Amino acid sequence: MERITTPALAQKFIEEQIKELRAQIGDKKVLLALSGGVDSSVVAALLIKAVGKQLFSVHVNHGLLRKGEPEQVVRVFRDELKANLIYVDAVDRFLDKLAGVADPEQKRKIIGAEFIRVFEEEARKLEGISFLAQGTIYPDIVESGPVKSHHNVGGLPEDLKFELVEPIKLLFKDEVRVVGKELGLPDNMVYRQPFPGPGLGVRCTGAITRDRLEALRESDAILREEFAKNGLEGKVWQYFTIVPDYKSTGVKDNKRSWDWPVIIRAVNTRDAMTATIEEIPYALLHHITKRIVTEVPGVNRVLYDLTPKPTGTIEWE
Amino acid sequence: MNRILILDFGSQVTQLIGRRLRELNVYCEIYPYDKVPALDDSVKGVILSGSPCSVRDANAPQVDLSLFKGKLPLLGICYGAQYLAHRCGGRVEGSIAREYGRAMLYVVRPDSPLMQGVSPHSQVWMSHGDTISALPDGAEVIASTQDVANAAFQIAGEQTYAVQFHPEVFHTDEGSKILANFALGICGLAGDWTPDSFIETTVAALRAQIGADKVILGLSGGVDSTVAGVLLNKAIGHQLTCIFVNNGLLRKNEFEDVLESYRDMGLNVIGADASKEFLSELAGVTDPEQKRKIIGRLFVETFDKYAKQIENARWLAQGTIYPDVIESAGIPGIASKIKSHHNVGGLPEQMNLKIVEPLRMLFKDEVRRVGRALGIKEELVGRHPFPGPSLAVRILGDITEEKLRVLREADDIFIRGLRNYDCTGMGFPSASDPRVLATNLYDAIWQAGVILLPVRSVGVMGDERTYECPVALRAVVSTDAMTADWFHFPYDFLADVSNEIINKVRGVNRVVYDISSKPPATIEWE
Repeated sequence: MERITTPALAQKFIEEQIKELRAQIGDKKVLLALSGGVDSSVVAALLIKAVGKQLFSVHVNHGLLRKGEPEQVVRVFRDELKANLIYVDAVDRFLDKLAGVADPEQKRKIIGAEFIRVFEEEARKLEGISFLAQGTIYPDIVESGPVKSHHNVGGLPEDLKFELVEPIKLLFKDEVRVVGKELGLPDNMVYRQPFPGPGLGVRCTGAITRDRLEALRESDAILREEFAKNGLEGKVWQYFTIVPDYKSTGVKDNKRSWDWPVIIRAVNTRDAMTATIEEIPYALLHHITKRIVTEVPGVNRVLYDLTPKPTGTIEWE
Repeated sequence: MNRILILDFGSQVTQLIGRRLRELNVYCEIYPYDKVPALDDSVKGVILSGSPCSVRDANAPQVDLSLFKGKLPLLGICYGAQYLAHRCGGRVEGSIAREYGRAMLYVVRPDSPLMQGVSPHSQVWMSHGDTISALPDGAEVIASTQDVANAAFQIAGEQTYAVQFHPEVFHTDEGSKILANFALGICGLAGDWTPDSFIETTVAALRAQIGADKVILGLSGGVDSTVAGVLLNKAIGHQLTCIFVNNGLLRKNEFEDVLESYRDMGLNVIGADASKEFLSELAGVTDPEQKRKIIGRLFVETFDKYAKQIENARWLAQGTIYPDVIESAGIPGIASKIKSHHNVGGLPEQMNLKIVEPLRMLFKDEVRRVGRALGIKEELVGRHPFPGPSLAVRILGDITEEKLRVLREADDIFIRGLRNYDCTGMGFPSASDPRVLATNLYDAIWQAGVILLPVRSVGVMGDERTYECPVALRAVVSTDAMTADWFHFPYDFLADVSNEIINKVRGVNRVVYDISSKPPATIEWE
């Protein structure tokens, strides 16, 4: 298949998909888990074009989303695109389940399983759903082998028998973006960074606590704000922070402090299979570090991840 | 020894006055303003430092000017200048034209002895809220800035001078020239305080002080104890016994390599290998304070055990240097820093030994200059500071043989990488000699090391999923270790060194670089 690199190729893909989706779905109802990331947003937009209000999008706030993100999903899809959007606040439910769980695979499993459960509950409330749409893309299929288990492949109980709709499963990320742009989605959505299914959960390494999660959310927001202000948004593929579960000494107000470090990860890739680090100008790193250690409670140190993929993965867990 | 006295009113940069004078080969001593020593014939001039206080404050620090004003050459700097104006008929006011940072200085009286050869316009560093609005009796302006007319003055008929700016800081272009005019010209000092003269007088003094007694010295591999050892060895030869303790937490091959270097230099040294004891007592201990305590206690016990075998020892030598000794000025409302001595604590009382500290009047860069003059090789003289508890504070959490192996391998790659990277022409000042530029990254950096993080992260090697430890690289520049900034590596160095660590060190799959300044972070992590 030819790689989708131009608006014309994207348009061709969209037309084919709309035809195929209409043929597959008919007048039946489709359910979609809408995370707000590029993939699920593009799937939603394709389906809105193809079958309109036959699509029911469920946005689950599991407490592991970035700062301001759930609010934005509601604004864009419910208010602007007029979609059928079901917003579920499940923050306490997830964080209580995750309390004290340090093993990354265990965390992913809990988040995945709990997500399916919440989603299942919402699905059962809706009647006559025949299809489940998913934003699966090509690297997800390849990577779910030995390296990581991706939660968005399967998992719903047997009695909820949906037929799968995966319109972008053969696309790479850069192709998804070209398609999204052609679908008329706003830039801030199309060029939004990839975000893992378990969200900030894999960046709040070890056992998640609410205070450390907050430090993560705030430091991530500062990083994104500074990248946007300094022309790196859209230029750098993916950038975020990690707050690991250990502390180190520092000095604040002439006293010894014992706080977390924040790790900055900023990588470039064409296809998410390999990645190299962004050479951020040192003046900007200084500025970001200063903002993080002064504005984020509980943080006294900032680190910059130098590891390419391979050997490190983009995410830490 | 002819000298200049620096009276400290609590400025953060007072020590820099001393260091600039020493760079001119002028001997000087720093005293708190309220502890002026007896002014004997050896004192050839007095300098009054800056201060965080205002002379207009009720409890501003005071000094009896009649002790030296008009009798000896006198230079007031910042607060020192304002104090002279305030006490001698001039006026100091809180100013609207506060000056912080760079200013342009215009020399008004190029014929002034303080301004000899100083360029007509030059950049100076200012840091003052108050300003001298009226000069003291008999004074005349010798230099001005755009905002401050009375930026420098002299008092006729006396050798009294004052500058509002800070000649001691690096950013004052003609600072060293002005201090040289004062010390060499006005005070008439010869500038003969050189490493060679220091060695000559110190060797003689040590011989007189110690006589035929036996001396014990703890060597750490660091610059200070090494230079102290070589200097004592030159003075008293094998009356000196050195003890080098292996705590099992040293860098890769460090114990063997350094011990060999010491023996090559002719030192009488005992290699005290206590690594087993240290590691077994540290097993399972995660609390950083607890780790430090155990290491400190075992060090004293080990040192003690070997020291006791040296019969009739009378002296304990220590590598104490001047910044450890200078008493800080007690300033109202500002708590003075309490110095905790990292040198062998508690030993003299137990063993009834007298203390000898041959380097106690030297700044760090002078210790290095003396070391070089003594012929000690660059690998030892240019060595970075290394924490007393060694690699223990760079392994977060508990210490195991396996973690030590991983850390040592990674650290070795990092340090070798620093030494092998040619940075000629990149403009990095040398950390071991601020007067020259560094030719390799190791010399451009104050302190560097690798930290092993107590977490695991996911990675991929080949097609396998890995779940291993990240390491952090730490490299800082600093002048005094009180503040430090992370080093701006060329990105290609970071890429190469992280790549080599990941590929060669089993157990590491990720490398991060610490981009935190001190404060709010610290140089070491624990």
